[in-house]
Amino acid sequence: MPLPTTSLSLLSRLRDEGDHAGWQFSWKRFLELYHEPLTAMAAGIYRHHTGNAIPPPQAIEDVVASVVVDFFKRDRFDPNRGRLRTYLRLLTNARVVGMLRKEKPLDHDPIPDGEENPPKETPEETRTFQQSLLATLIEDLREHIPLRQFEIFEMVKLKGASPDEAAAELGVHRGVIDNTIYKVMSRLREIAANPEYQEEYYS
Amino acid sequence: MKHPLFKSPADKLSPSEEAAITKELANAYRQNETHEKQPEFKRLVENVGKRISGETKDK
Repeated sequence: MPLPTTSLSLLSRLRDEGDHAGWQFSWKRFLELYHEPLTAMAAGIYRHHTGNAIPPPQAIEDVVASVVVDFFKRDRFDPNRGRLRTYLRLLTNARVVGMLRKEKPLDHDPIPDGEENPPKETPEETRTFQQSLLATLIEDLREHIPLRQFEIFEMVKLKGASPDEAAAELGVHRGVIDNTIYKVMSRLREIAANPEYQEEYYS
Repeated sequence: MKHPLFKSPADKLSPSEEAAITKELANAYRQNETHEKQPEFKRLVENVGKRISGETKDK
């Protein structure tokens, strides 16, 4: 398997092609990162197609599970053909529409032909997707810097320890912490400058 | 308005911009870390695992 350049491009390449353990890890990681926006999407789309009915939690969980399976086993996300958030939205919409149609008799189609398209993204979906994207960026950073640097960044920037506390805990000079944080923040901004991230971030 | 995280790496960030980035990253990190402990999330992982392994038929 070729080395991924970013976690986003990694998503387009992962298939169960020999590296089964890696692949298993991938879908779980993807689920951790994206289940929240997928759940928000599925609930919003369900409400849209049912005239604002409250979505049953089990139905939403099943839609999210099916979308993840679709994403990893059936289709391949190609960033050259569109954005991840649009792609996930289309998969989710198709699953919700399919589920609603399956529940009703054929002569009571709840969604008339031509009205199957997904609705506009809700603010909740935007917020959760952006949050997942930032979590993906942190994962991406972790893969691109030495472990020790990530530990210092995690301690100070993600878990809120002061630089002095981190220096004392790690037994290093305060200057080492400051220097590492500066380097890691610069690396983070380089990774975030990847157009893929910017295109995905804004709705 | 452009998010400060996506400003050109060549541009210097103000202290308030850097603080805003840190706050958002820390929120995203914390949110992501807590998922694993939630029972709904564990159930979802099992649900997907069964479908991926073929134990539950996914139509």
